[in-house]
Amino acid sequence: MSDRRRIGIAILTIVLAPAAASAQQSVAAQQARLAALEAAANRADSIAHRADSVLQARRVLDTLRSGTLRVVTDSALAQRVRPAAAHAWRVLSAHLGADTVLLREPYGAIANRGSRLLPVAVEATALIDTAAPPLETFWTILGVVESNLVTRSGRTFRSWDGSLGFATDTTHLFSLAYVSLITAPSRAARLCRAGDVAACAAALGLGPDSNRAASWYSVNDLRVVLGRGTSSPFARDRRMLAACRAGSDSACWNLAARRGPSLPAPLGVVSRTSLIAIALARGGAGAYTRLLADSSAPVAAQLSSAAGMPFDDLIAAWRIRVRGAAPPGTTGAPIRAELAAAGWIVLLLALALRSARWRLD
Amino acid sequence: MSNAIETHGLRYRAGKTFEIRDLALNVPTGAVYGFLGPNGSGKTTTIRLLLGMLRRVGGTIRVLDGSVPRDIVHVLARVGYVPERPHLYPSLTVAEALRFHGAFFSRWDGHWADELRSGFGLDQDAKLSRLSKGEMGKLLVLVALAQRPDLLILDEPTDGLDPVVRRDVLAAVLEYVSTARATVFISSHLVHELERICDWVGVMDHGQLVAELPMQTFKNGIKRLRVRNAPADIGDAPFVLLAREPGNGVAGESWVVRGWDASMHEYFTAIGAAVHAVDDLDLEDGFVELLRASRAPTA
Amino acid sequence: MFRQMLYTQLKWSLIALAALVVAGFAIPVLSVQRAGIVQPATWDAAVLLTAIRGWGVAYPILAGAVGLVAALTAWSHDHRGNHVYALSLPVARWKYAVLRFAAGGVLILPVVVALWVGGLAAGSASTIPNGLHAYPTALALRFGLATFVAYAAFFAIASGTSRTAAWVLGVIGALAVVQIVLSAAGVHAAFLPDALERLYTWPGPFELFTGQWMLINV
Repeated sequence: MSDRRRIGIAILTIVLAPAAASAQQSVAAQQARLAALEAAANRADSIAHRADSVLQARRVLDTLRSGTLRVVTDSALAQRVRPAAAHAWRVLSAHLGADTVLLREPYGAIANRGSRLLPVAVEATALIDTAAPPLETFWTILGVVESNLVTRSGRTFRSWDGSLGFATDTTHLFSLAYVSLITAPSRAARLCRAGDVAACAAALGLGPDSNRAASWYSVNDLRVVLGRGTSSPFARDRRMLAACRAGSDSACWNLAARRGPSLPAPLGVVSRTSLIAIALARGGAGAYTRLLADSSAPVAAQLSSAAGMPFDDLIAAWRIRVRGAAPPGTTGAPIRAELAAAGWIVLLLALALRSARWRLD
Repeated sequence: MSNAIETHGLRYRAGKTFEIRDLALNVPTGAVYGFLGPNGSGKTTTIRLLLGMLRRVGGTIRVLDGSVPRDIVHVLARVGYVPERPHLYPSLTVAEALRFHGAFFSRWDGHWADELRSGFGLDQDAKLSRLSKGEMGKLLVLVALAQRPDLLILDEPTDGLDPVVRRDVLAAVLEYVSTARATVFISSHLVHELERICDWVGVMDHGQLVAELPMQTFKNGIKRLRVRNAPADIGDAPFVLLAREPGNGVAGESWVVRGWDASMHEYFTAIGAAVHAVDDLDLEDGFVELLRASRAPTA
Repeated sequence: MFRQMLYTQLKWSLIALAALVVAGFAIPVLSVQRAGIVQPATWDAAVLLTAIRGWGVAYPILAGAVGLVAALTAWSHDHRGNHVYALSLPVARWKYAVLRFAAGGVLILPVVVALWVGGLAAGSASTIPNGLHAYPTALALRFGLATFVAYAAFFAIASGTSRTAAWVLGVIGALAVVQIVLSAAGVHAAFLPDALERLYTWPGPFELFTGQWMLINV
């Protein structure tokens, strides 16, 4: 090393040493400060928990049990929540069958008093309006339980956006799925209607991830789909949409590519819920348990496991069920309504004939 | 002689004040019966009862040998009715009204209806709502006559009409009656008009029939007498004393009597009184005296 | 007799009837036009169905309007004359009412036919996507039946006396007052809404009016 270099290093050392030293000191100080702050936060949390516990201790909580369903609620609400919980248990046990063991969590229900939301040490909580009638509470409990189970089925399943159907009216589920399949502006849906099982899976968002837009939609379909929903905040997207609508195929494909995962699949919640329903029905006992068994598995695998059958067979079964569920005569009236109307016409005419208006007095 | 209209003990009540009590109408077949009475006496109500438009409370009604309301459809098919107020649909034209009305009557004479229409000077395309009172009056009578009815019931048919129209209307009625031998039941408060055409008269007052007799008897039978020296108690007189008013001494008392006959002078001699004047009363005066007598409180 | 009844009722309702006929033809045509069927390339069947469904409320409203016009036309001129003319005609009372009812019923038919023709025209002039169908005949039949029910109801009310109408309104009013009093006293009793609901559900007369009225459907 030359002398000049040694002097330079020495000067640099002399100049930078204090800064280095202070930096070292800042990091240490900051670390110490951080530790102190964390300690303070923990102390604050501890105090807050104790305060909450005191408040909780002041508030009396009841655990209502219906079968394996447990609902924790404010004692003041128990009378209102109990019948709702009992009814919810009946519905859940009908759905879950032997899988009611999945209801291991206590489900909390607490009134929202003013602006303070008081926590309870349970997995799920829900707000129950103190004025809510039992029916609304019933739906809330079902919604909470379903949300909990879907969460436990894994992030992929959750983001696939299918419903277990506890908290929804599934009376016309397959008829609605039929309408959805029939009216979806989608190449995949058309192919599905014609019998292509792979297209059905794709339309349900369960096909291969690559080139989804092309597998789902034709360019004319994209002109419809891309125009749905709220307008994009990006001017570029708006220009591309205008060009797409004006006839530019490339603009449509480019915009679809920009949408990426937010491009909606042809068949949405209703169709997916109907697929889940088929899978659980086919799977019989233990279907729910199998559905939740591997939360890291792909959705198709989860459904196949729940159904106890290969995925393609499951999709084929779903397609047949949905195709057979065309809603009957929604434009014409039910026969009984027509007969009732005819009967009323005769009755009203008879009343008119018996009117007292046959004298001037 | 059979009656075209017969009621026995007919009773009707409307509200708390108006009542028709024990009405016994007898309208001979083929007669022109004048139904007299002041306003509000119950003439229109009686007519509506005869036509089944009002529900009677008691008694019986027979019109053209049919019982009302049991045989009302058959009765109305033979009755030509002219109401007090126009009842045809005002939005129709004359021609449309005639066609509509004629569709309901099997004896409708369309040719004669056209003749009458021309004779009355009615424009067939004129809307009923635009007809004058006289024109509407003529149309109502035309419609009733063209049915070729056996009984014409006319409720104040000339009320509010000018003399020319009244003459035309009554002439048409009388011409029909003379050829078809129909019965006419005509109500009016225009006494002098009925005097000319009616051969029977019934007088209505406050819901009761106070008199029913041939027109000639009615006209001839009511006299005003000037009587001197009549006692207060006249005993059993051979006539009906309708009114007795004190005189001014020289002229004597004024008596209005019904059923007077020239031979009744002897009665006055027997009671020590003397009749020094007998005046005929016209129908209107007789009608007024009759009403006054019926309204007088009984002693 | 019936011909004259029909003539007079037609004369009295001509203008209103003409307007209703136009409406009957126009509603299905407009429902399809407004749904934007003219450009199949940008066609969205779900949006189409939603738009068609949105027009559905016009059909029962039109049915009610036609029934009301026909019933009022049948009786209004007799009401104005206090029924003196009708009562002086040599026809049995019940027969007279049946003739009036039948005449009004005949006058309803042009509106139903216009709606049917409008539905046929709308369905054939547009390109309906696969899976969807036009139902002009089913729609027209349902409309016709609903119109007749409305007509019969209004006819029965209009044929009654003022006293009858007062009774009916009085009963409804009394129920409403009792309902209000009970609600104020904290007693839960919704018999008036329940009673009204009975009219619109089986076996009430107006069940036909509820549900979806869709010219184009799955």
